[in-house]
Amino acid sequence: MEHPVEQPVKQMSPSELKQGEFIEPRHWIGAEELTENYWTDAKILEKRGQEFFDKPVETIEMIERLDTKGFARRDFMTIMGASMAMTTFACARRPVHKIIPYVVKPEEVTPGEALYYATYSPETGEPILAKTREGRPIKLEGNPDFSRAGGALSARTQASVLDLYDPDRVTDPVRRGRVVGQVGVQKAGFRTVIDWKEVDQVVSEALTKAVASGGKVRVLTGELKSATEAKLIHEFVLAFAAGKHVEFSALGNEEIALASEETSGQRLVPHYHFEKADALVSIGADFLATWGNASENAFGWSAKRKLEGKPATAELSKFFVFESGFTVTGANADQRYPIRAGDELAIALAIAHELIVVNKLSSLASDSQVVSVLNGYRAEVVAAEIGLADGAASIKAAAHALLGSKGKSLVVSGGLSTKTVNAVATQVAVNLLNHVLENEGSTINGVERPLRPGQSIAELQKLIEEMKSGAVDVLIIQGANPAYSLPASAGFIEALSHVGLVVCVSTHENETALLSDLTLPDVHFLENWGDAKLARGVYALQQPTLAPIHRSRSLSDSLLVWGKSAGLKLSAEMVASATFHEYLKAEWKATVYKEVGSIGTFEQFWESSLRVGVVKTAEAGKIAGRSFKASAVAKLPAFKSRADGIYLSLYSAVSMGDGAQANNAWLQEMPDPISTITWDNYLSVGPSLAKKLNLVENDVVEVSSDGQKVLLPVWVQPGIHPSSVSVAIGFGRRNAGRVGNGTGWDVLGFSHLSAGQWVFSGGPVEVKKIGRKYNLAKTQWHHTSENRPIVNDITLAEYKRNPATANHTDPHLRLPEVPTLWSEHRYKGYRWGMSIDLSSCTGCGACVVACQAENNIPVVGRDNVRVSREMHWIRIDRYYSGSPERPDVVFLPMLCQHCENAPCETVCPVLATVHSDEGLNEQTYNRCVGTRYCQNNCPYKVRRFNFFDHWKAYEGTANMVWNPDVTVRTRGIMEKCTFCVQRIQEAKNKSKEMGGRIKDGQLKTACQQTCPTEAIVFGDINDRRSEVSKNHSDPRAFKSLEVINVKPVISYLTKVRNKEPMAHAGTGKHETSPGHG
Amino acid sequence: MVSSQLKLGLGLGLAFFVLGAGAFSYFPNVSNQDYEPEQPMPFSHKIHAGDNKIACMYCHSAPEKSRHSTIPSMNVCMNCHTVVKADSPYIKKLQEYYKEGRSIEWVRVHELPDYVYFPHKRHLARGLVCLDCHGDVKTMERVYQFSPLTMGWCIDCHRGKTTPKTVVAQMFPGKKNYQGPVATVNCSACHF
Repeated sequence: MEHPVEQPVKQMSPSELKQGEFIEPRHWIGAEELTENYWTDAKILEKRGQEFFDKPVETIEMIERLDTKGFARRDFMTIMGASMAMTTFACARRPVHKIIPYVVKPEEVTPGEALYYATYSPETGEPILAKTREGRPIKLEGNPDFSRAGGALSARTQASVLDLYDPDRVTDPVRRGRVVGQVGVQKAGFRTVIDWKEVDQVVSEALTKAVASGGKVRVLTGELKSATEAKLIHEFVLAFAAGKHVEFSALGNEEIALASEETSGQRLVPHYHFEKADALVSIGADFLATWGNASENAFGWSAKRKLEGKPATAELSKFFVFESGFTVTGANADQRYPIRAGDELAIALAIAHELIVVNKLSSLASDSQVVSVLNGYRAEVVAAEIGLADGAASIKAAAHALLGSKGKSLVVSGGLSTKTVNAVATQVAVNLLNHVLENEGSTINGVERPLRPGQSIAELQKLIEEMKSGAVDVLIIQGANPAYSLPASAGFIEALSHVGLVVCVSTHENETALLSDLTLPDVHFLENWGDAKLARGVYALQQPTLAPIHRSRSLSDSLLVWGKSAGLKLSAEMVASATFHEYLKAEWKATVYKEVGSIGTFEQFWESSLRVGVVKTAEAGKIAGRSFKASAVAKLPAFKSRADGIYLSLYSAVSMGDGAQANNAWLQEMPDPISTITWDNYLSVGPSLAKKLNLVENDVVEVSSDGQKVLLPVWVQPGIHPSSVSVAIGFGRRNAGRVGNGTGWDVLGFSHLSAGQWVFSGGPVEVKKIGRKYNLAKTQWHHTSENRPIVNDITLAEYKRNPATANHTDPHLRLPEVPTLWSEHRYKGYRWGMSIDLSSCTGCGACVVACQAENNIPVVGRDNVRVSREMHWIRIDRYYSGSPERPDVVFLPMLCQHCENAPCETVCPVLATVHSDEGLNEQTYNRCVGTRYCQNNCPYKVRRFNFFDHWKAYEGTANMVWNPDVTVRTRGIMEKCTFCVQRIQEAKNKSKEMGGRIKDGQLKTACQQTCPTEAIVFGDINDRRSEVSKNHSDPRAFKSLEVINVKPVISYLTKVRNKEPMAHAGTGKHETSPGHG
Repeated sequence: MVSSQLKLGLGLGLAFFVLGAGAFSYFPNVSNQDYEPEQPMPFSHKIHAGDNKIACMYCHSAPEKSRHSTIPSMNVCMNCHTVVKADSPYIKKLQEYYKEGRSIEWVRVHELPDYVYFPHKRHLARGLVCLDCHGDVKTMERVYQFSPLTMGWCIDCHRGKTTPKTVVAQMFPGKKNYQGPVATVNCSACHF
């Protein structure tokens, strides 16, 4: 991109001044931009100008390497010649297509019309509305009846519809040769596909034998969301003298339950009410993106982050984050403090010291035992040990914010980075804080989600020991992949070799399946029945949205079959049910139906429950706190100074979770919200540590600890503590499938099981540069704003003074009215527009995946992302401000701005992109010839070009995921956001049937629909009363790059941070107000 | 010896032929008007819709509520043909298919490219009738494509040039002999 040196307009922003003049940018993409060199060095300038990385040689190589299913260029000419001859001489009409109607059309199906089913995702715990077309689900949306998430879904659930059609799924039962006592897959082993009859025979025989030999049968599953399913498995294992059911997950929250048991005697995970918290402190919990039900959390959190109108009386919650990694939650904090991995307990207790000892909060202030423990954790001592930014003032500020909102505040901690050796102690400290702040029963509901006895790492360790001693006859594994997710030190793989019969119920032939005797095709959750308790008195039903695609059977159904065929002594409920569906119905009749006490028969209740998906009983909304035993505090460890060194923090990436969805290409290509890196994990190193170790981005380092060694590429991440590094789990799968194999590196070896706990973070590691390089595929650097004012953020104090502070409508930034060459557009009917509230946007990326699912956006692969060819129509740009040691973050969702004076429209030689009379910038695929002039001319870089026939990667069943309402684009076609024009057309059809206009709120784009914080608003700006119109006239509203006068139809609302100094906080340091330049 | 003029002529002719063929293959925008493929079963619309006056939408259900006007499922055929003409060899075949749970693979007559979204329901709601685009199907022994179904043909109607008078009158009740456009010609009306 050329720098507009010869811009005729005076009064430009300082950043638009002459090249060669260095002005530190207010918002920056990477720390490089803060150096003068970056803006003046000729070499860097030239490299930066290469926006599209077009090197013809590479392109041809890529065609040959990546697009083997397509045509190489030479073949293309041959085929062109041949097809030309054929069209000319045979003069053929279009190919003959067949229409194959239904034999008996299901009554509810109308071809061409969508049918919605309410169901539930047990993987992420979110209630769903599944859109099906002609019997196949194509898009998942949040169930709007679940009012705690407002119809939102996380990126992982959005993408799970692709898992359903994964062509790498196991289709039939598989039997493997495995010699008991020998580790790993045997060379002489066989792999044969068998039928279910044989499966039932083999398993029944083994179970019958097991009954005779003492009944050592174990069922090992992932954490089950469905209590009914857990009940069935429990009843199944009860049929054996020594049967047991163990559940585990890397993302489980057992430490919270253990701490709760210590402080209140209840082994449960409470429910958090973020929507009620005026002051919020998170110690390592990434609740906005990866911890708990993230969309529900974010929906609640945003309730206290909205600014509606009246600046003078505006209020925002106060939000502090102390964390070792850099998470989405940290990026949204008002004050984020980098800590070392493993400092969570010290932070929590330092805050407790400030509240209880210094401010004499609660009766515990006179409990000498409590005081003596806390005295070791004085804010000054802890801050000095950790090297906190702002020193002790940071802890004091957090404490005072909590104190100021006593009873309406919340302290949370959790997730992998907090699962240190002190994980339970940290949670005890968090319970202490919430107790003295009187948050129990207010922002914390402590009467939900008790853990089952089998949900325990101690039980898992016991199981492994039993397996090792050869005491387990039959092991049935489902919904878990222990051979991958458990660290080698746990000895699971070795233990597995001593088990008589290993049955793995799995959707893929994964790491564990390869070590099992039987691999049974599992159903996807969209093919299965189930239920869940979402909250107190709120239940969700999970129903199949289609019949199983393959010959799959759920574990529950299998257990019912095996229990009977093996002649086990089953419960009456199990005997009465032939399928899990029947069992589930009977269970609901006995429990939820009674709890609801509804009038009408059970069948009526069942039908209506299936229709709505979420059922509420009178219990819903009831809230109660837990008690607190002060004796638990006395057991907390004393303060210990830690040796200098580098501490490792593991975390679960927003896209990858624990790695179960590794074969999902949408998730692999979803850029990480903070680093924007796709397809791999990487070691995040803070800028000062990088300098110390002489590391730059893409350097490969050897990370080692206790004999574990992993090579990882380095990513220099601003805002990471100098003594801490972090890396995501869930990558480095060996047998995930064709997509997931070979993405990133497995770092679970750094975790270990010890004394009933799964410890992930906080251990010391060594980081050694090995002199190799690895090219990480990141997206943000593909587009540089060249230091132009593209985004805006201010503090609450500034907002109160002037809500339009620095938001580009400042007179010195506004261009004088420039005469244009074109006549003005007139919009008589609708005029579509959008607004995006940057204060609410958390950057979670759910919209990116929702858009991908809705609009048939292809996946391009790692190599193509490296050369800037990703296809996402909406991307989340992340900008930093402040110091690289502790930056603030603002997310800018960037999509086609549907400009009134669109620069793309004027350069298209074939009029493939034109302006509609409803304000849409239309892209007509069948007209596009692929000159890419429009892409070159787009100031926002939102036009994406199909360099290859990327759609061909959707092989086999995968192409069933396409949305039939949107054209699948071929090679050589430009595409970009359409404002979901297919949804506009659909809404128009509906409204015309009703004989009126589309009402505000009736029509939602895919990104808007899934946004958990309702940051995106879409509607008719010709309608003065619509929400989007109101947002457009909000004083905070600004247009991105307004100075270039392209007149975007998207208004962004300035991000406002609650950074004003607190009256009694005594934090010396206050952020200087950002000005321009 | 071939004269240089002849050479030039031949060369030019070849060049035009190649260019023309190229253009033809690149823009396969030829109309399929009058396309009348043979069907796997000699279904006669004349007998069904003409002689027996069965309404179009008895079999082709849902054009008023969907994008598509569908080919009837086998159970619709069997509504009558369990009894009617049950001894005909074709009907026997039909019944056999139905019992086996198989479907008849009809050859598609009316087809728009994948990048065109044509909703039947919007057009029916405006007062167009089947006949306007599909021709007088009730006289057809074997169905053929009556209209060109090209983009120009669509646009002409949207601009009001070829719109049936009844439709115009219904849309603009106050205006006699209205001549202007009747529907949108935005690209995104049909292409997305």
